[in-house]
Amino acid sequence: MGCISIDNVKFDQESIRAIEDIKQKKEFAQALNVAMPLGAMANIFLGNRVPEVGVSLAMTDFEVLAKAMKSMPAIQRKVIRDIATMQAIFHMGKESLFWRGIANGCEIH
Amino acid sequence: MVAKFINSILLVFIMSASIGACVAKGPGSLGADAHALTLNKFEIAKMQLEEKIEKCRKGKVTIPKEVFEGLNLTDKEWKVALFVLGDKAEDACEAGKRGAFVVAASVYRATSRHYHREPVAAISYSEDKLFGHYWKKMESEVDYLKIPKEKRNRLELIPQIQKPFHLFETLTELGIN
Repeated sequence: MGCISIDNVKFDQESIRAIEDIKQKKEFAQALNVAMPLGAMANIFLGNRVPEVGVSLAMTDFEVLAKAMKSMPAIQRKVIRDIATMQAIFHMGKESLFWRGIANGCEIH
Repeated sequence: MVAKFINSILLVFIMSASIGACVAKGPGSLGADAHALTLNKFEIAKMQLEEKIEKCRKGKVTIPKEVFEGLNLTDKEWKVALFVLGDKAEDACEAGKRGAFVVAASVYRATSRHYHREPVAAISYSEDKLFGHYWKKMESEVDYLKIPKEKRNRLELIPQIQKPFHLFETLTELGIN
C-alpha cells in the first residue's frame, strides 16, 4: 500500500479514544512535532481536542507521519501500529482507511 | 546485516563498560554497580526485542486466497480471525524476546526503587504504555473463540498463518475491505 489520501474523515468515540491513547505516547508526539508541527495530522494527534468535524488528509500527511514513526523506537512503534490495526479492522470506510494509513505507513509490498 | 553487526559491537561495548565500571569503583559501590547492571540488562533486552520486531516485520508476506479455499467465514469472522492469528504469529516470531524485555524492565524498575533512583530508561515502557491497549486484543480473542471450533482448527493448521503476514493485504486478497 502506498501513501493514501482521505477526504472528510470523521471519527467516532472509539477512534477518538484510540487517538487520545496514541497522544499519550510522548515519543510519538515528539517525533510528529518535529516532522509536522502544523497541519491536519498535527491537529489530530497534537491538538488539545480531536477535531469533531470531517478532516481531510493528503498523501503528504501520511508520508510525514510514516517518517515520524520510523524515527521512533521499534517497540513503541509497534504499540501504535497495534492500536491503529485494531481500529482499522473494526471500523469501516474512511475511518478504516485512516487507521490503515497509520498502521501501514506508506509501505509498498 | 550491518545493523546487526553494529548492534553486536554496541552490546560488547555496553557489557565491557559495565564490567569495567564495577572493577574501577571497587566494593564500596556495590549498589551503584548493581543498579548499572540492571540498566545494562534492560538496554540489551530492549535492543534485542527491537531487532526482533524489525526482523519479524520485514519477513511478512501476503497470504494468497487459495490457501483459505473451502473455509466459509463471514467478513467479520475473517477480520477477527486473521487479526488474532496474525498477532499470535508475531508473538511467536518474537520468540520470547518480549517476555525477556518485560522482565528486564521490571527488574530495572524494582532495583531502581530499592536504590531510590528514577528508572529513567524505562519510563516509556511501563506496563500501562506497553499493554494499555491489550483489552481490545482480548476482546478480539473472545470474538475469535465464538467462531466454530472446527473452522478455527482448520485455520490454525494453515502453515502460512503460523508466520507473520500482511493483515490488510491478505484481507484484500479475500475481497474484504
